[in-house]
Amino acid sequence: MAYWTLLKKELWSIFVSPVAYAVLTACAFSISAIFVYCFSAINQQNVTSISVLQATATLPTFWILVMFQVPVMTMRTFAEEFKMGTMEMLLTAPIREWEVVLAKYTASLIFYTLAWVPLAVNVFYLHVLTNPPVPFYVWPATLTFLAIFLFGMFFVSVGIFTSVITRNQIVSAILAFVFIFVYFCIGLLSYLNLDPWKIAVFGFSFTLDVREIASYMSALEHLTTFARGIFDTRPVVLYVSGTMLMLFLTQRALLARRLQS
Amino acid sequence: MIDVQNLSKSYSGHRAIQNLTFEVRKGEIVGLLGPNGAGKSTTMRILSGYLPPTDGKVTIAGFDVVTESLEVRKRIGYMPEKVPMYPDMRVNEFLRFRAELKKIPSRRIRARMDAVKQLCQLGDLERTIIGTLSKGTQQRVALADALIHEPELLILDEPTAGFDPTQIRAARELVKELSSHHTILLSTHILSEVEMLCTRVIIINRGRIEKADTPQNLTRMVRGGHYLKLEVKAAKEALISKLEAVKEVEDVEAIPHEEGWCTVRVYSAPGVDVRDNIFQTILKEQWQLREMTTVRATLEEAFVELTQD
Ligand SMILES: Nc1ncnc2c1ncn2[C@@H]1O[C@H](COP(=O)(O)OP(=O)(O)OP(=O)(O)O)[C@@H](O)[C@H]1O
Ligand SMILES: [Mg+2]
Repeated sequence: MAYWTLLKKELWSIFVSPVAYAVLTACAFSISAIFVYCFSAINQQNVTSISVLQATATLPTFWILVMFQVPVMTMRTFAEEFKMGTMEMLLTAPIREWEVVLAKYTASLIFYTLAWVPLAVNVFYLHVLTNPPVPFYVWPATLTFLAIFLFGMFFVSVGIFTSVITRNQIVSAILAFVFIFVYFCIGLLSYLNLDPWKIAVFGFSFTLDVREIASYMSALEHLTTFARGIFDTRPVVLYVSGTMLMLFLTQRALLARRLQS
Repeated sequence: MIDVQNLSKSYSGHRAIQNLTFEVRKGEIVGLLGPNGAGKSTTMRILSGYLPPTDGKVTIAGFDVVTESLEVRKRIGYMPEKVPMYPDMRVNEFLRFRAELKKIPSRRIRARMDAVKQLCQLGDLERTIIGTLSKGTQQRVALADALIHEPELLILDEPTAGFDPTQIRAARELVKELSSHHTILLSTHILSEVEMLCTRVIIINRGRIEKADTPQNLTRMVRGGHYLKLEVKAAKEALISKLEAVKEVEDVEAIPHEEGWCTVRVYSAPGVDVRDNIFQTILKEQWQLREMTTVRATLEEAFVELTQD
């Protein structure tokens, strides 16, 4: 299938460039620094893998890293191909648009996932290198990574979408950054003490509970809940459907761009 | 093979092509000619399935380019005008990638790659990074890509732009060779090439078809482009009066020059051969004759005449 050929090529074009290794190295350093900082900041008496991951997930620096990392990883995907003009060659081959979209998305997601390997290594070292060993809990640790993967999956699809609607990589990165930033901030609304809004439209009246909606969308809350070892299906549904929506929009935008170019 | 009906394309209000209707039959080599901005590339991009038409219908090998785009794309080898390339790929990697995209069975890929590398003279460049190749060579890589899946139809947008004279000649040989298995639609600004290669020419100007015919017919249509050139030793007035009397001659011009010689142009209707009659007259008058040539208009002259306002 053309998808595999395209995926291979996408991975190749990510990892042939030194930028990829610079990004991975920068991520490894920042993640390790954040982790070590969190480890040293919490009370050494009751330190466990759970408490360190909890601390990591609530650190603003951690989220700033996510907000920068995703746009940098996705900005090149479509924008560059349009700029080089290779899109014309690609789309005149007997392949479908969605295969291109899916291949680019998967490659970026693999890149994103790789960037989180250092966190796993840190958690592992925390257990192995300490004496006495810091207690390690498999389930909460696994769920933490699942949460990071889930919102990453959605954010990467956003990045892919912003890449297809712009011709310039930097503009694409800025748009993706703004989207992720705003999305994250909406989640923060759940910590404010907002009263539910009462809305009446044409005689129908209903209440809009901003706090509840915000907490449903809060990536921060998802991560901290998962890190405590509590599995919740709602974020899974949210992120999977958000991703599908974004990928669908990307495919439409790719078509529309071809049509108007 | 190609059937184009009332094809139009607007770019956000600007009309690039209007109401094109033409067809290309299997086995033909058709040249698409026209001045810059005439709409050649636009037409080819629509045929290749990259751009959708604003209006009209295009079928290739019986498939509609819009609704059955995938089937169409399987059957054509398209070489875009600006050859876009992945600059970091090696020639071999690129060809393999394209071959896989075009769904050539994996056991045949090697053979096809070798074949197109040989056709496009890329044999010793297979490990070179595309970004470091010269423009003409990149162009050959793009041509190799267009050929790799043995398409029934080749759509080549200015395939020889950027080639040196040797390469142009090689490309001409290649196109001739390819024409035994492929139908070819190409655009170019090198008219001598078209005269030698194409079985038919479509001239478009400002998005409309001016003329579609064989190169021979097109050159014949040029006004004053077809005449007999003579060098005769005789007086100008005598020449004009005697030669104009010859059957089927329409017009005679004579320019006297050194030692009583005159350069004479004898015009006749297209397709009419007056050489015998002229020669008989000259013999009868006992004039001295040192040159007689038929001058034909070039395609270039036809092109200029058809596309100027
Ligand atoms: N992407 C585009 N957006 C807007 N207008 C375009 C676009 N591409 C082409 N045009 C316009 O359409 C017209 C036809 O362009 P086209 O590229 O088809 O010409 P051409 O015959 O290939 O010319 P050339 O000999 O220079 O290659 C031109 O007026 C051009 O400005
Ligand atoms: Mg052109």
